[in-house]
Amino acid sequence: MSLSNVNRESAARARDRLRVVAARRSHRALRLLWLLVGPGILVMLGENDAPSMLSYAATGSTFGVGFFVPFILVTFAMAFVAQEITVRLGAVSKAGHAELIYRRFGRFWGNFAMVDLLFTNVLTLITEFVGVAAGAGFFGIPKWLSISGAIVLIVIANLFRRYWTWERIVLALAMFNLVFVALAFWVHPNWAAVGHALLTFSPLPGGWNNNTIVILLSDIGATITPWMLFFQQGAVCDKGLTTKDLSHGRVDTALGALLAALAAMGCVIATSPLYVHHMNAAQFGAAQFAQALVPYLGHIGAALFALGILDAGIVAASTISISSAYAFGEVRRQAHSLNASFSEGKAFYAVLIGTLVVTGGVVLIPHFPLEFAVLMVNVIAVLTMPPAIGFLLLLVNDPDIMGEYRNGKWLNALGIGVGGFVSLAGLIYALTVIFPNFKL
Amino acid sequence: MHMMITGDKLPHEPDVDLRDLQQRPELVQALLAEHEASVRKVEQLQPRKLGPGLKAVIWSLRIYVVFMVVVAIIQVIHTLQ
Repeated sequence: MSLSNVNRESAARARDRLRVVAARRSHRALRLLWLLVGPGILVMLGENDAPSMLSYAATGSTFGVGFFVPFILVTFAMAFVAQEITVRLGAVSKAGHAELIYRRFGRFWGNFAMVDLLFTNVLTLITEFVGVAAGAGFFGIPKWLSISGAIVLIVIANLFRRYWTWERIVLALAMFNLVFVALAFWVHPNWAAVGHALLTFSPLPGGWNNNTIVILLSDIGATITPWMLFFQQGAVCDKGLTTKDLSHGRVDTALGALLAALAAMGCVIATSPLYVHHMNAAQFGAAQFAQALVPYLGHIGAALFALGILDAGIVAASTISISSAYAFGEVRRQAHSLNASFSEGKAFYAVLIGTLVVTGGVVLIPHFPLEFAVLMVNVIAVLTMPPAIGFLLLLVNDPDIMGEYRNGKWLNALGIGVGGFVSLAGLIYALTVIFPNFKL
Repeated sequence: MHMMITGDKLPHEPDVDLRDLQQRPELVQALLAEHEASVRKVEQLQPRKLGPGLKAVIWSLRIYVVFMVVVAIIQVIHTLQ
């Protein structure tokens, strides 16, 4: 940046930094927290997307309140370990995840990482729109209207060309995810059973079988996916966080993990009456789940459930499309910021809007095998995670990038633990597919 | 030549209009000093040398993904049938 030429992106980021400096100088702790939270909450609530909420609904209706309620806490703890690394990488290097992979590992390995990201993002975006259409379907809104309405809403949030404004709009939308916590209270669950499950990780009806493994993998995929790494690191850079803001970045991520875990557990508890009343609803769509819940939640509660799925789809479609656009801009070394003007960030905005239009359009194609995408998405997300965690750990241990902020041995042990757990879950899944009679 | 404003010498202004900021490059530069330094550092990064052990780890993770995707596709085809 030369002194004679300040582009819109730099000016906007400087404006955000000026507010942070003023809040820090005047010791206004809450104001500072308000200014610095965002990427962490968005990435975690964004990951509570339509297929994830449907996965939790299938979990609640298939297994009731038991093993999976505390297991969700474990998966979000793992997500925190991975996402905290992206906060440090972004705040220290001010470079996106894709850019660092390309710079340090070259084009060959960078392209592999991009293929994983593109493949999982396209698949996930399709399922977000499936969720939007299914949620809106409960209210009789036609598919074409709900999908085009969602795309218009997301594009409007981007039209401000300000990261800050986009972040606050999507944060407000994301908070609606907590409706699942309210719905958990609405069904008047047996709180003693919830407490017992949280303390003992039990019961697990049916024990460990192939269906349990798929649900387990799907619930892991509902919390840890490649786009989250690319999104949060990109958002930390776009927001302009510095090394002084690291503790707030961690609080932001922990807060996001906590809120998302509560919403996910709320969804499992809210759908547990379907299990109690022996309704095997594992293959329900969002609207069917909402309909099935009418006897237990009433029409208003069921409508809120459908709205929750619709909202989850919109929030995730916004964050996932931005993760693709960040990665594209980083790799092409072009402007990649929500603060950029349309002329500065032509390609960035084109990728962002283009992916939404294409994936939304796919859902409208008659007879397109949408079930394929819905069934695959969370599982594929988990299966592509081990290399992503591998690169994440290599980058955060790179002294040339991280200097004094690189991982210590305990953080490495946690990171390797997460990678090992995800890989092992994938291997057990493979064994159950290849050897259908395989038992744990 | 402009004087660079750094650290605690930043002005006591809680908010400045975006257009005003574009006319005050020295203030923008001061606010984004750490950002600029990091960007310069990253631009100088070269691809790291991958030893045989590290190459083996990355290749095995890649083979893991390809294998698992095939397994997942088989599973979904079975389910849909």
